[in-house]
Amino acid sequence: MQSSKKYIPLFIFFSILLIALAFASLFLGSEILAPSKVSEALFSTSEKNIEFIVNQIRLPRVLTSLLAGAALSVAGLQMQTYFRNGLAGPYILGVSAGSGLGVALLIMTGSLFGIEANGEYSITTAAIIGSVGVMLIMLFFANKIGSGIMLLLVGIMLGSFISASISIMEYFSDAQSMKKYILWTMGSTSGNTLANVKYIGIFVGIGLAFSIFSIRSLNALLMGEDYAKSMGISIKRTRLLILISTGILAGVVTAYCGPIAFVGLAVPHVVRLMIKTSNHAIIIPFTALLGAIILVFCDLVATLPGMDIRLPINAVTSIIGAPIVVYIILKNKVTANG
Amino acid sequence: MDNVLINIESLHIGYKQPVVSNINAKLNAGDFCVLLGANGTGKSTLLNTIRGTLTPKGGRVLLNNKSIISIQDKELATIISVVSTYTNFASELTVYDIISFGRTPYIGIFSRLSQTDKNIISKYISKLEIDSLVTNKFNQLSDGQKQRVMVCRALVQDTLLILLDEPTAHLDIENRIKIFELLQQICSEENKTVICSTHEIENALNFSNKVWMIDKKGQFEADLTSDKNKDSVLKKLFS
Repeated sequence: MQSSKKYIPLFIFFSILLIALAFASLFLGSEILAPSKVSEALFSTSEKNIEFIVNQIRLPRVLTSLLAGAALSVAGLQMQTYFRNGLAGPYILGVSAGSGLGVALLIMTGSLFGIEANGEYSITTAAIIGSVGVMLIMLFFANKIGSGIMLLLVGIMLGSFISASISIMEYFSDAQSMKKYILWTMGSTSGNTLANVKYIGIFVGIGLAFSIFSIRSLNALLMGEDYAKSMGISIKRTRLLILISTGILAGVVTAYCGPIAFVGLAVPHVVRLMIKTSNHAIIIPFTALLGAIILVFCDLVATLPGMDIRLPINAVTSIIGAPIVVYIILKNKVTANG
Repeated sequence: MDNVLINIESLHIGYKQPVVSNINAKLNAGDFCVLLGANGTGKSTLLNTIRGTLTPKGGRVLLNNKSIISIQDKELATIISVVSTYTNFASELTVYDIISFGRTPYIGIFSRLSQTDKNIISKYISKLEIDSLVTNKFNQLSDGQKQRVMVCRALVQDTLLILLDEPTAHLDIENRIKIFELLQQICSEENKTVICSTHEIENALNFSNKVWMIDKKGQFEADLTSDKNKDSVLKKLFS
């Protein structure tokens, strides 16, 4: 918990990197645009089709990636600290399973009730209802249950239960609905309007604000619940704060982008290995920043600049992310031992 | 008149079933009290009841004449600190991190340490002679070093009362004596009150000024202070 000032240069460096990547994402796409044209489209007037590509397609996509990366990473960090388990991630308490259930019900059984899954907001709405439902169930249990590990087990069981329910629906659904659902599970940062991005931004802001109120508790929890309690931390209050924060962060991202894998699990590890502190007042901002960088970068790779096709974002996050994390862990291990 | 810090009045402790009944005892500021008893007799249960994590089955614990269950968690953390047997902390924590967490009840939501906080931390780090350890990872310390750090963290929490649950359990003979010496020193020099559960009868009798005991029948006995004979204590404990 030494002075936080020494981290400022690194924070500025990462901020510049994020801005550079975000701009790169605006002119690198299936059509590669000159930087001058991009700035024209952003700040003054330019040709109609370029303006459309930049302002309606690429800008919302970049902003969505940025917000989603930050949100999922901070949610994952809180879960890892609270459960003191490096395998925990933003979805460990079943939030994405809940969204998945909402979406699956809509896509695969909606037609039975005359609801179409094609409307602009219907999938998002279904995902929000699903994740809020799971969050309410978990809040109910969080109030009843004594220890974090029991809450974790309930979350995992709930997730399994929901996944099984979705499997049953998949088994009986037609090929077209199933494909639509599977495509949703692959995640996507595109397809959101700037208006949607505004909502994502508001909710991510609220979720991050909640995480700030947990900083002191998260630090104390590194010594376990019993010691945290002996230092005046209210375990129940902390648990609710963390649950609400991660529920909002993971829920809003899943609603607008589908269940984006890997980022929320990996980024906190990378941050902890890079900046050697356990103080969440420092780790949380770095995790948000690095999460944004990594998802914007993965999104840029997924667009395959210059080509007409696009890779699913989940494939890219894991294919690029997993080797990087293994590399960092191994490198750190070597220096730690040597 | 003596300055009574903790007053236990006809206290019954336990989980579903009462474990020990009718406990009556008092401690003053500066007392070094050891709590003796065989495994499973309720030493930890008593410590947990005193620190307020376990509700009494009857009777009450008064801290400065205030009932423990009426004191808020945050205020309680400025009165009682704890050294437990649990040391399975997050692996990235350094000794300095752990010790500075002792200031948790006094800092704001951003966990920023004030100059006062830092001064208190440095004062106890040098008092406990662990200056050379502060940048080490806690997990890499020896068991003896770990206990010194945990005692330091409790002191940094700046409470009137420190509860220790078998702090010498994993230590060799030399380190056991060192911990008892340290606790005695804390009580006399810092005017802290210490309650320490232990199986170390000889050290307990040598270093403490109050002895509490729970025998195998679940009987609590407080004033063994006059009875500094190891054999008679042993007899009482295990008969």
